[in-house]
Amino acid sequence: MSQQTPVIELKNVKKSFGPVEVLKDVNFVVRAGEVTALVGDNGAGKSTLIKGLAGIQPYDAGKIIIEGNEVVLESPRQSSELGIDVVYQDLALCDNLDIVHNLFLGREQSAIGVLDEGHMETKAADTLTSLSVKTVKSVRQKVAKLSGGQRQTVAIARAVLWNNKVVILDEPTAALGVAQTEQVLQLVRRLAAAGKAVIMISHNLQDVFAVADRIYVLYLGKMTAAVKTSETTQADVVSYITGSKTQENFGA
Amino acid sequence: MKIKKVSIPQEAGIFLVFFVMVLIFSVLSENFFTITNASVLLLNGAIIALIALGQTFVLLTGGIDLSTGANVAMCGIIATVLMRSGLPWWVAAIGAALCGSFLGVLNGLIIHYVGIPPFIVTFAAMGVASSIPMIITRAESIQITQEKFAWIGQGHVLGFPVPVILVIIAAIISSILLKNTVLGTHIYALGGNKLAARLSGINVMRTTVFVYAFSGFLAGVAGVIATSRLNVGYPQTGTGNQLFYSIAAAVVGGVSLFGGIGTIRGAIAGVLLISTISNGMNVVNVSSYWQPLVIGLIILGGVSIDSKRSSKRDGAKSKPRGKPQILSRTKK
Ligand SMILES: Nc1ncnc2c1ncn2[C@@H]1O[C@H](COP(=O)(O)OP(=O)(O)OP(=O)(O)O)[C@@H](O)[C@H]1O
Ligand SMILES: [Mg+2]
Repeated sequence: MSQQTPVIELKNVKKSFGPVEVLKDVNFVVRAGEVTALVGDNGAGKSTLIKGLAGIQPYDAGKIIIEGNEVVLESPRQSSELGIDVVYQDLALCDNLDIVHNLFLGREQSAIGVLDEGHMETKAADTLTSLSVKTVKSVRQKVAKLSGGQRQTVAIARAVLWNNKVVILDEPTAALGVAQTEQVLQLVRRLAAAGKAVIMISHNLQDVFAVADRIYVLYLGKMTAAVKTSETTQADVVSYITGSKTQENFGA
Repeated sequence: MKIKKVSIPQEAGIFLVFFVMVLIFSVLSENFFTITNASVLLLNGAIIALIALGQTFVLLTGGIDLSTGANVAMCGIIATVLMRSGLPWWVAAIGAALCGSFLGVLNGLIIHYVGIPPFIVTFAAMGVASSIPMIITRAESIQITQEKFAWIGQGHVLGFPVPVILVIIAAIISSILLKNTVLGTHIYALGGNKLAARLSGINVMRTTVFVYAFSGFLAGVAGVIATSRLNVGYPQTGTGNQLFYSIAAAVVGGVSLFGGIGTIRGAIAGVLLISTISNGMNVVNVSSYWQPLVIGLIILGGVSIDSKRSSKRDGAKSKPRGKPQILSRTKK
């Protein structure tokens, strides 16, 4: 089963801002049912790599292959049509709207423009239940009233609701306490168990080792390592991140 | 701190102040609490109500429309001119309202595509729209050629003044649009978090253009009503305190200048309050010079409460949101 076509395959993608090369011939493979961690120091190019997949900031060169087909990603809409959804750390939600409206934002259920609130509410509640989210009391609460972990949960639930194949999480636990981090990590595992391809950017190696199946390391715009979590150690990953070591025979 | 679970609608406070005001003015003058005065109050309030409703849509997206007062004047003259050109009065009225929304469409397009703050775009539009009727009429009043046109501003249906009925219809439509439609949710989303809205695939351009077009349309209707009430095309109708009062009404009614927060119910409550205060001051013979001062203080009070509330709302969250979006660039 592990030899099936990857959901996403990036080949030699490049991106420069003016004279600065931020991504240099990056290869990246993401598989369904796995959590793929993307790590690297500040400024390594992680967000830039993700923005290309999200269609917000297209790559300058290279191939994007989704389920075996080469595609072009030039707008967020194209990405979401291909089933790729990005959960941005705190950009994703509208504080002034309730959970239901946030979950359905941009894809509201309606008949001739009139919202089908009942249907949306049921589906929102079902989705949260299916993710075993129990801390949210009412789906009609304004998001402004939620805790950081709950907000992150809602943001992730958005991706689940739309049955996306790929869920990208940019530092999902950065602002969270211990218990909330635990909740979100469990949620991340459940997404993968449900067959989705999950990409998680994180600076926290403990989190990474807790949930990731594979770890990709970016160093100054180059992919310097791609390892299975079970076959590496935190110490090794730290040396890849700091550039003091490069994975032997990487790229082979 | 314990917070009571019973939720009191935010507008309750305004209604309370409103009743207190009614009480005070009734005590001060026996002419206040009369049917005649009530109808004067409602008729004057109708113009403010219409532009406040449109303003509410714009404010909810985090924008502002300063061109509505001038638009009232422009559309009033356009209606007059269209009638003189031989069109039936009702075609002229509809045509004028459409011209109002056309100005709004231009506002919206410039704000979206050029990325200039709404404050500046609509400020410029105010200049343009207040000049046009002056140019057309050479600053003179023009005669209205069709008697039936007066019905819009002066007629009654089932005993209710037509302008008041138009306001009620506009308020109901506005409320349904905001509460029950996809468009309404997108309007709130835009004012709540523009980037999130865009990333969610919301059509920001269409939503922006709609709110300014809607505001312009209602300003056009207000222009038609005002002109019909005066029964003469006067190039400066609506360029007085109307814009000022309508923004005051929305803000006092709980519509946030920071975007994303507010309801039609609140805006209407605000209109009632502002109209009552302005009318009451007339009835008890407070010099009209004092009125903008009082309304100005009311705006200040309303905005202070609003910015306290919104800094409390955002305080705990990571999203920086120091100043109203209307003062910052809108693109991206
Ligand atoms: N729009 C842009 N214009 C110019 N330079 C940019 C732009 N976006 C990113 N960069 C530069 O590209 C490099 C990579 O940035 P990127 O945000 O991808 O890093 P990152 O790995 O996500 O870092 P962090 O861990 O701090 O989030 C940085 O040097 C950054 O300054
Ligand atoms: Mg980043």
